[in-house]
Amino acid sequence: MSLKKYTDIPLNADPSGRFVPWIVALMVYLATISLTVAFVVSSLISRWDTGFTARLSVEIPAQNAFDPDRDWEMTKIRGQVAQILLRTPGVGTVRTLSKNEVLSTLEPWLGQGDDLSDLPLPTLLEVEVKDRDIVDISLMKQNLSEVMPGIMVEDHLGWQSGILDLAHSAQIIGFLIVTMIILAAVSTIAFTSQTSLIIHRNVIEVLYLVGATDDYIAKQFQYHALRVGLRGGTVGFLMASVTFVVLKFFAKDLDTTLLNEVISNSALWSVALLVPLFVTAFMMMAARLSVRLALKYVL
Amino acid sequence: MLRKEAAEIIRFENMGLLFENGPQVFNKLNLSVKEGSFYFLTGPSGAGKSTLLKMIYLNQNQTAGKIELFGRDSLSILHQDIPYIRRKIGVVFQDFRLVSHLSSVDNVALPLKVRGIDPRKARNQAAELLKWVGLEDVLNRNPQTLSGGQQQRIAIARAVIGRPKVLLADEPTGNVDDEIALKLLYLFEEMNKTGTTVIVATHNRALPKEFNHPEIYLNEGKATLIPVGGKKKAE
Ligand SMILES: Nc1ncnc2c1ncn2[C@@H]1O[C@H](COP(=O)(O)OP(=O)(O)OP(=O)(O)O)[C@@H](O)[C@H]1O
Ligand SMILES: [Mg+2]
Repeated sequence: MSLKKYTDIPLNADPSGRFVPWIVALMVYLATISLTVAFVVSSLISRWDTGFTARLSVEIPAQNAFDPDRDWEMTKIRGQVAQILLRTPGVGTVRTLSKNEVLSTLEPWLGQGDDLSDLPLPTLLEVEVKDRDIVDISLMKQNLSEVMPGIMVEDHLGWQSGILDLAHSAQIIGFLIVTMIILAAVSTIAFTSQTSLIIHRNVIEVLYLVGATDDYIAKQFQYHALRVGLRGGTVGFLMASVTFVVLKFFAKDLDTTLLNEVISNSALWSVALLVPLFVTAFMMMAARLSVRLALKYVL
Repeated sequence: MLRKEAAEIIRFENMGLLFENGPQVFNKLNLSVKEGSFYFLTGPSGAGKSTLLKMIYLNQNQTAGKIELFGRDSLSILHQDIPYIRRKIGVVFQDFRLVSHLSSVDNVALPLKVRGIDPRKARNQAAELLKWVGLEDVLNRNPQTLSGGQQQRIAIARAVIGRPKVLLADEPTGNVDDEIALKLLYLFEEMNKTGTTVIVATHNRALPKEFNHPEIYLNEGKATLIPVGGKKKAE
């Protein structure tokens, strides 16, 4: 194999470097697990995005006594409210709930019974939101209160977008963890390379004396990082795979389809494969750069 | 290749070397080495033979005067150009400087490998050269497991494998029996005939006469040139 080409310096035998593949394995494992968590979270988000359409409900309070004039006025108010809602940018459809529907939403509080139909009932409107970024709820509330004070807008968007924010930050934290892991891998290899430079001073001097360039010597370290990265990366990948298989086994019992779906997702497996390669590529760059700098300014 | 006047390949001009807290090794040393020549570099122990060679392969800077290599001022040579100059110079070090974890053949292949030559090709050439110096039986042995004389021949093979323009040998005949010493010196002569400039540092002041080559005698910080068959002094 062409990797053999770059073994003039016995970097593999360094006591200081022997633990590095294990550290890389652990880092790759942690990075893969963090990315998996981020992956699960983003699957959840897309589920919320498509599963729930965002809704608002608007409640026009019930009137006390039965009064035909008042009844007529209420019809007018309902019309005005619907107009205002439909004119609000970002709103899709508006639907007034039927009496039965209103009753069924009240059931948990009032219980079932015929006498309920005599009660004064509030009017409920269900508002479908097309674009929640545009809808200005406080303006909507203000406009509605001008029609009749006491109209309530129940905003499901608040907690929904709160959860979405939380989900996004979980994703960002996942990627931050991966970045930090790569930084740690990079510094580990940079520091062990510096130690190896000192340990192998004699060999490096001979290489110089027979006409080696800084780059030739740096490449020895770069390919050492490649071997270490691939070795550690493979172990880390296998550890992550075992974790997935074990999770899948338990997921079957728990009937959590989401977890199952995520683990079977080919994108997840490509990420799991890419992580060791990514970490290795960064380690190679770090080894080469740090050695070149040391050869230029220190030795 | 006939030439009226060979080009100057190495030149020392009033060169001085004073080590910090150490001796004044050289003082106003003058020396000119022409391309294709063969010199023995002699002098008592501590006279500076190894140090002078070190200055030629750019591993030690002077503290006074000037050194010119291949027509370039040694102090003006950039760090990144040094490897390319060193590839024109083969060195047999007094202490061999073999890489202990590499086999004999890999040690000899090193100068070719650092030039970017395919490692398999480099190893084949190295093996051939080692056969030539009588080491075909120890190709894959580590240098430490070999005798001083065997190590020396590995060091010589490594110095000549890159077909250098200049060959510097520091006591190359010190550890070998007379027969092998003769064979090695004949190898240097063969290389010299094909145009390689050779400088052999040695304690043995009989060698210049035996081989009919001029002698550079180092003593008290100065170099004295003794031409073939003569005792004449030259600056
Ligand atoms: N790095 C150094 N620092 C201080 N002094 C040095 C250094 N290198 C060489 N010297 C001194 O320079 C002088 C010449 O040493 P050198 O090894 O060149 O002598 P030599 O002629 O090769 O001797 P030998 O025949 O024993 O090999 C010695 O006095 C040595 O102590
Ligand atoms: Mg010496």
